[in-house]
Amino acid sequence: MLIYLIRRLLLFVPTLIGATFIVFMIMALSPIDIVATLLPPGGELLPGEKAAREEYVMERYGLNDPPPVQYLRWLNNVSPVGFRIWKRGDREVEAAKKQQTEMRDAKVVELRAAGNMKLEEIEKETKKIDIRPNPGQFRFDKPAVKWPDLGESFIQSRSVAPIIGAALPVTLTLQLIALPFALTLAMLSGIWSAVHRGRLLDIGTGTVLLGIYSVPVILLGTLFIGFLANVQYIRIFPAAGLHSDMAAQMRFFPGTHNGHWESGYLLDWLWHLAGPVLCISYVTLAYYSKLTRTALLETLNADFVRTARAKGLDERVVLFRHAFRNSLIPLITVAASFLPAMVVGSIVVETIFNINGMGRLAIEALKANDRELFLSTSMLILILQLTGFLIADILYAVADPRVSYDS
Amino acid sequence: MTASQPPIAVAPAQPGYRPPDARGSSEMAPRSMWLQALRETFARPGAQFGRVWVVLLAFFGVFAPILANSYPILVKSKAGQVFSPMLANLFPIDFTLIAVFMAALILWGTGRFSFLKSLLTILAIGVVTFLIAKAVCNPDPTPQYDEYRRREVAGEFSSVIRTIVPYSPNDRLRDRGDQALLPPSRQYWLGTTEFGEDMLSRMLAACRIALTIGFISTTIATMIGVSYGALMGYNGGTIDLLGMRFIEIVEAIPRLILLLIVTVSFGRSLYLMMVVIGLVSWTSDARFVRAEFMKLRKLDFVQAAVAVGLPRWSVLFRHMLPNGIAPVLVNASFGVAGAILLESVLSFLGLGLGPDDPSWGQMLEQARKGGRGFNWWIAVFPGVAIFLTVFSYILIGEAARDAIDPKLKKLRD
Repeated sequence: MLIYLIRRLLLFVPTLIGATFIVFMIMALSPIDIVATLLPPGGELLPGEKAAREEYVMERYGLNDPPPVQYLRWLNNVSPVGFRIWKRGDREVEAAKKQQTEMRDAKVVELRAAGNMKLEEIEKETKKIDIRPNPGQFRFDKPAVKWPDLGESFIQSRSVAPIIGAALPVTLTLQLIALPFALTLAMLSGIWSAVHRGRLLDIGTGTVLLGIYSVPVILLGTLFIGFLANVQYIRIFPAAGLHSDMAAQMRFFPGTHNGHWESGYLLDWLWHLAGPVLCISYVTLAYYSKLTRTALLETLNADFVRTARAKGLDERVVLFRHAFRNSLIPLITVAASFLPAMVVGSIVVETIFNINGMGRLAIEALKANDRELFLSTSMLILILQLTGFLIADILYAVADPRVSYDS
Repeated sequence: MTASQPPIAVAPAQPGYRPPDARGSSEMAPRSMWLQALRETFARPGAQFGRVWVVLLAFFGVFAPILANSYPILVKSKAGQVFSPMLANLFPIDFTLIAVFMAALILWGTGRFSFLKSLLTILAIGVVTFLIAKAVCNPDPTPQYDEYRRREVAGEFSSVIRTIVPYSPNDRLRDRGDQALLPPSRQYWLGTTEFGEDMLSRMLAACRIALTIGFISTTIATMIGVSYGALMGYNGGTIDLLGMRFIEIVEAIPRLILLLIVTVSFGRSLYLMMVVIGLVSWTSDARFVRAEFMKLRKLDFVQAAVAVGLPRWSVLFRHMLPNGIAPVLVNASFGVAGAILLESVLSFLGLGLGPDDPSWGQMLEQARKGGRGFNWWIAVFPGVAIFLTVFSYILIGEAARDAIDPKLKKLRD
């Protein structure tokens, strides 16, 4: 099993690279003109100005290289193991630049003194003097382990890392509240209907759950906002965001303040969470509940449960200590693979509820052709997804000794 | 009952009941496994409900331009001329769909012809109709929807026969002044949108888009998945190893993200969307077929087929595939539901179909953005339509899975 786990871990990186490569290539091969997005619209005041600007942008973002080269450069930047890059302002770079300028100046003087060359030729000749390192080149003098550089957002003109740093906790909080909520409720209802199997209520619950499973998030979210967060009908829930405008001035806990009731930061936050959490969790709830029922029924039919009953054990003990524990194996493994699915689901939910999380960030970046930002967000979503799969696989192997992977 | 009749219990005439055949055996006529599975699938109330809704959707989708059109069916002018503006403004695809639907109804409804022959006939009919209609049809590229309403008001016609819903999906009712965001009423049964279009007409047109996207993308996904999985499962070894790694890579990218990238990068179009949904949804089919083929290739009948010297494609698709395709067919039902959901989510995010192609997701997006406040009829009707469609396909899929795999069913009950 150890070998299986190691193999699984080693496959993580190539899979991630392959997936990001596909994403990158689709974007790179699309007819969208990134240069046009980056430059301000409008004509040119001086002839050739626009062409020069376009050239500068192409050069700066490396857009004139073929897409695979662009991908490799991006991969080198975001990977924690890779070449470091010389930057403007590094001591060696500045020294090299200074030396290069001096040498070029000397060369100009020398060639002018010779006197038989045209101005362009002199310029051409001096350009040949190239003292390295130049900014943008690989440096080999430092260890190859570094912080990942996610690049710079095209639209927001700032580093991608802090943008994602602000969005990721929001999404993760939403998920970490929604997932346990959904799983607990689902297990309870699953156990309940497994115990009452075949009766009308069980069949009814099954049908209702299947129905809930088919309700599209976009319908539920729209109706929630439209009916429950709308002055036109009932306005008991907030319509957008995760905090009220006044949240920063609120006390943390609810209570009376200066003689009047104040809901406080915590309650305000929970109140904003109600809609999004409901929309994220209900599909998982329905699916997991059916799964719990199936898994439990499977063990309830097993011989050891009959033995436990024959021993005269209390039905509750039989149910929870004997049967349910043994049906946990498929449940644990499936639960781990829910996380990525819910992250993708949060794209829709965050758009409906105007929450500035990862999903919304990805959509906005994509709509604005912000390639660096979108690549980073989608890479993070990919990592979450792959980690979910990985955890599910490991849990599966650990939880069920009957499973054998070394074949 | 008259006294002359013998008191024999006569089998009640149920629909679908067949009397014992001429050979005199009282057993049921032998049926193929597939027919049996199909019967068992649709014996369940859930699947029956699903089938009714899907057939209804198909009917609405196929006949949408005949049910809802701004052009009248028949017009009699003052001079006594009778003509049909509706027929003159139908697109070739409308005629094709109607012809295919009728042919399918006749060939499969009677149940006299074999499945494959009927399928080929239907395809041929579709192609021929499309070619003829393409040559004959000449719809107005910039339709004037209010033309006949104006002329009727002006008194040019002595009589006009209109469709059940007398509005086209993109008819903004410009001749009637501000008709935007009217709630359901006797005139507009499901209300109007923010541009003054009739909701019911748009809903009908959206049925067509949903079903086409569902069917075409699932067909593409199934074809890719089956071929890919068959090759992997049959060959094994390095091909299998590399193939599985590629599947893992594709599965690592969430389908929604992949779809978003492609639609943003290459523009919005109905056909592109169908193809792309198909291109991103084949992995589970490939996995199923691979697993089945790995089991099958060791069995005697496959070994025999190879030993006889049959060509590779014959072994793969004529001998192995019919024995290994059951999970794929079940998956196809869920696939249609998934494709419809994906399309609606994409349109909802504002990255799918534009306002000229009415789709349920796009209507929901309109409802969310809202013109003046929240207009429930723009959200509820398309939303419920998505829900019912997805629910139907899931019910059919579950029933089919139980019918094909009785062991699973026993576990679940």
